[in-house]
Amino acid sequence: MANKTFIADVDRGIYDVINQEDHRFVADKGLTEDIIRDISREKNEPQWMLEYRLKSLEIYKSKPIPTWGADLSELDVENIVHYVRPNTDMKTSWDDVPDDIKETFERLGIPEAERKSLAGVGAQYDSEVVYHSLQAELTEQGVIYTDMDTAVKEYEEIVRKYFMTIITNRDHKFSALHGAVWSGGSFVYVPAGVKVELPLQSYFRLNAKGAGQFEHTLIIVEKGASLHFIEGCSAPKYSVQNLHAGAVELFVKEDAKLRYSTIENWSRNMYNLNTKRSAVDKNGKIEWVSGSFGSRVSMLYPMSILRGEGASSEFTGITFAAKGQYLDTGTKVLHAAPNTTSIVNSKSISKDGGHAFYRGLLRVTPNATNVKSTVNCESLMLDNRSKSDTVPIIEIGNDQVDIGHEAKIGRISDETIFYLMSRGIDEAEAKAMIVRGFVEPITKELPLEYAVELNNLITLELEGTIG
Amino acid sequence: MKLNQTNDKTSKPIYEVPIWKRLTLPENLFPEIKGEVIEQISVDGNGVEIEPYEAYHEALFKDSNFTKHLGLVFGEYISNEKNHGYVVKSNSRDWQSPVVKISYHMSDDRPVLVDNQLIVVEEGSKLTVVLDYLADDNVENSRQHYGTTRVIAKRGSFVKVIKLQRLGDADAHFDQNFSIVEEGAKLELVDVQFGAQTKAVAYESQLLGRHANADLQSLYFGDKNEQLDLSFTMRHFGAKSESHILSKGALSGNSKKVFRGNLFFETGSVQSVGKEKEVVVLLNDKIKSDSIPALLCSEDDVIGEHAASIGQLDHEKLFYLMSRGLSLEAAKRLVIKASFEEVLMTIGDDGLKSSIEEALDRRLSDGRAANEAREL
Amino acid sequence: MQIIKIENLKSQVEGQQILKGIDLTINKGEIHVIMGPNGAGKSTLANVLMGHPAHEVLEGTVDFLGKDLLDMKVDERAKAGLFLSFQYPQEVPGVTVENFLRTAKKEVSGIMPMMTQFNKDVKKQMADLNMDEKYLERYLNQGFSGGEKKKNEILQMSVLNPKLAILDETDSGLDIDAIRVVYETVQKLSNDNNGILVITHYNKILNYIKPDFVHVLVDGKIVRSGDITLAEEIERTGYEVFKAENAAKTV
Repeated sequence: MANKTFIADVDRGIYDVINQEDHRFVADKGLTEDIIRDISREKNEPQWMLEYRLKSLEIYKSKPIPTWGADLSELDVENIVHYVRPNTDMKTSWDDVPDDIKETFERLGIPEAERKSLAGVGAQYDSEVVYHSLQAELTEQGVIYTDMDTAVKEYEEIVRKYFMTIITNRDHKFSALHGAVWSGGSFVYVPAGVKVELPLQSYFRLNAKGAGQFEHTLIIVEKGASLHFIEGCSAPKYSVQNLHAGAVELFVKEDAKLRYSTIENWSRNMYNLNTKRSAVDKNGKIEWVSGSFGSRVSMLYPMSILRGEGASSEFTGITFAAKGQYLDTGTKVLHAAPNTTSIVNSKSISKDGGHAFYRGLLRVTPNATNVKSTVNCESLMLDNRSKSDTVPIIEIGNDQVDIGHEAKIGRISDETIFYLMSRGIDEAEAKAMIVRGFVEPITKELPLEYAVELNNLITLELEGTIG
Repeated sequence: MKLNQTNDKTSKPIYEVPIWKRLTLPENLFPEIKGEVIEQISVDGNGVEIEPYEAYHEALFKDSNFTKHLGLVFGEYISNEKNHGYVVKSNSRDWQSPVVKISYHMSDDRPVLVDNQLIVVEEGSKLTVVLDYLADDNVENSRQHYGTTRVIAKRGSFVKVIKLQRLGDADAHFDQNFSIVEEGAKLELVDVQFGAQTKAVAYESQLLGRHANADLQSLYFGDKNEQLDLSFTMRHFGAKSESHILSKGALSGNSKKVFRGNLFFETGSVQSVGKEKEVVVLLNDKIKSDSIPALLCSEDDVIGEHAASIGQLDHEKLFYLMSRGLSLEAAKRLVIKASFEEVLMTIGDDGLKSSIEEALDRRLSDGRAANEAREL
Repeated sequence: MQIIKIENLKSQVEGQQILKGIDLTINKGEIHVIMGPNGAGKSTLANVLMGHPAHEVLEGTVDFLGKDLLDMKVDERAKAGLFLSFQYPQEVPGVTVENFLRTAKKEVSGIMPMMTQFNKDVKKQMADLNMDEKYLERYLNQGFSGGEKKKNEILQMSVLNPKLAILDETDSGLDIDAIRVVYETVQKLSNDNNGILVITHYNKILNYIKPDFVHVLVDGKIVRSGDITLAEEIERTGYEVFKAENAAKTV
């Protein structure tokens, strides 16, 4: 029986940096109405937002923890400190940011990114956005890129119109929790006709023991406009459970285009229960590029709601489940209008006892005629200690559709390894090449730093099976 | 969901109709048995032993090892209320496989059939069993069939089980099928669903031994207000085992169907291959088609694949046929029949095949008329 | 000077013996052609020399430039200068042709080639093979037609510059023009320092390359060796004569 080789884990190196706790305001453990009021007062929010938070809390308390998907029984949400704010107020210039916070971000490479002429960087540190800057160009074009807390006050009208309208506090327990305690996140508004050339990037950070991440990202791309937004996250390891229940709401208007790229690389004790949804209007287009690597448990299903005629959605994603990880990820597409199209390309790798679970939903409503959809799922298993499951659900409500769906599970083929070795490439490198090749369709959609990191993550230990 | 509640007055068990997510089950399920239905049985070939299915036969096959079935209530009802069924054993090593045909005719005065079947094919032996469920046409009185068929394909055997459902338009059909496939054995299953208003079938085959092989072909035509729930499961345990699932169907009228394909690869099923394919042709805008093709894998050295294609008939093909003089309707019928041929030709028995083709023809030509009538 | 010496090579695959004692020597500057009926073991010989894991060597030795070839791992054989153009080249999704060529070149030659010069050289070689430059960015063999896959194999051969190149049914799947281009390239690549072993059952290639030796492989053994006139004989009479000869010998 052929010996199996194994692939080493993700290099945790630079991300596991722990700073001393130094926080001004720490919310009481446990969720009560008073805590919510405290949070809202601290932020100086308008009344309607406080009311929404309180209503959400009510709903949250009435719903049980879901029993499908990942095992969340060990998650004790009440004990997680929800709101922590660092010692600084909002800053506009990098130089003014305090040193230890700066150090964390230095290590994550943000100044470099800035130099690489990205349009702006919003970096969240312990539930509040500390620093971001916006290039003059964008401001001139009327593009708004700020943190959510500021946006709620300064762009109240826009925010109120869109905030939690596609992810509502009624959807599920964690969206209700989010509605009650959300804090921080990015707000981007692109006016009609404006094409933002350079991608906007944002970082999140979880530092305090037991603190939850509940940032809310709200992006509106108006008619004919276009934007590429990159979200990447990381957090250090702790023994206390960490919960990430953020929300991302993306509005793509008529003829607009939005590309939303993410790398979820949370540390191995995190519960990542993020909700992401996009509503796409007439002839609009949403592109999701998604890499799920970290966390102990993830339940992640970016969803496209194609509600305008001719709207389209494209999803490209990779999930890598290693030892001790349960990654339940997938994508949902709802075709709710005629002439809409969708493409899904989802890949997963599982190794060392990791469990990758693809859960997809494709739904075509009766009025959504002339729909074309192609779904392709491929899973690579690297040993037989791991598990890989694919459970797609396809619900079709009318006959004018063209639906194609394919799924494959397997391992690296010996024939392919032989072919590469016959060209002088040794076995370990041959396997690494094949795995990198497997992941390539996603890597090429990611920004360069991520792509390079991704390739570096895939290193193989050698055990010859051929030659 | 409570199972066997006893009605104190008559001490007869009450079976509570479950609530299903995707299908609406009628309320009049689990009726009292009223006598027996007409059955015909014929045997062609040697080496076959047939005896009626009795309670003690339950010990020969563990239903509880199977998890992808219709639900515990159905299981209980079928086990407790059976009024028909056979144990068919074969140790025939003839070159030509013996064929056992069992057909059940339901009618208004014999409206309930609950059958339990056990098919055992000994090592190196062969057997083909055809189970044909028929009822004359009707619109109102609902006849109901419930059944569990169990198959043991022993080492090196060849087993083929063909199930045909040609009940009336208002009838109900609930059928479970559990199979064990041992080393080097080959199991072929053919399931044809052409009648009934509400129908749900569940097949689970366990490929236990090395080189075990299971092939399932399913054919259906949904029309009017029919509801169809198909569940096909292949579980790979043995190394180098192979399975194929092919489901082809057409939906017209207001019909609705759910396809569940479950391909399990348990750890140890090294070098196994499992493939699922679903092809659905949609003929009317009021249909509803759900598909849940699942691949669940705990072994890396396997090949697991699924492909689904859902949509209308190939326009190029239709155009080609019309350019040779066929009307659109005739062209559609021809293309559908041609597509179904892939499954039909595995039936082998010409007589059976032609009567199915006839039934298909009737449905294809009836369909359109029925649709138009409803729209008026 | 000898490149390869195969002595009494016997092999089996899935319990069946295919090679039943192959003897063959190829010297520098020589072009050898092996012909034979289907199932004779021609492709098996190629795969056994390259080290395919499914084939088990039962007996025999192979000396490759003074080294024991059978003792080497697959990649070591490539680094030693052995090249096989596969009959059915594998698809490797996600790996571009260009990336692959550079990696292979680096492994085999031991030096990472300079980007721009390498790029220029490859494009020239592609032009010689009538291959569109766009193939550099495509994923290795994925979606390539049979002919394009074969050209890609020959492209690799010209980049890697092996000491001994084995071409396994390189003509199958190619149209007349492609066959001409491919074999003319092969002839050009042949020089005084390397050897080429062509496996084929298609006579017409002899219009484009001039072999020094022609061997007939029947039922796992080389039953006759000669020069180009042997190939002409095969064209006239087919393999029946050789099969009969072989059968007579084993009686």
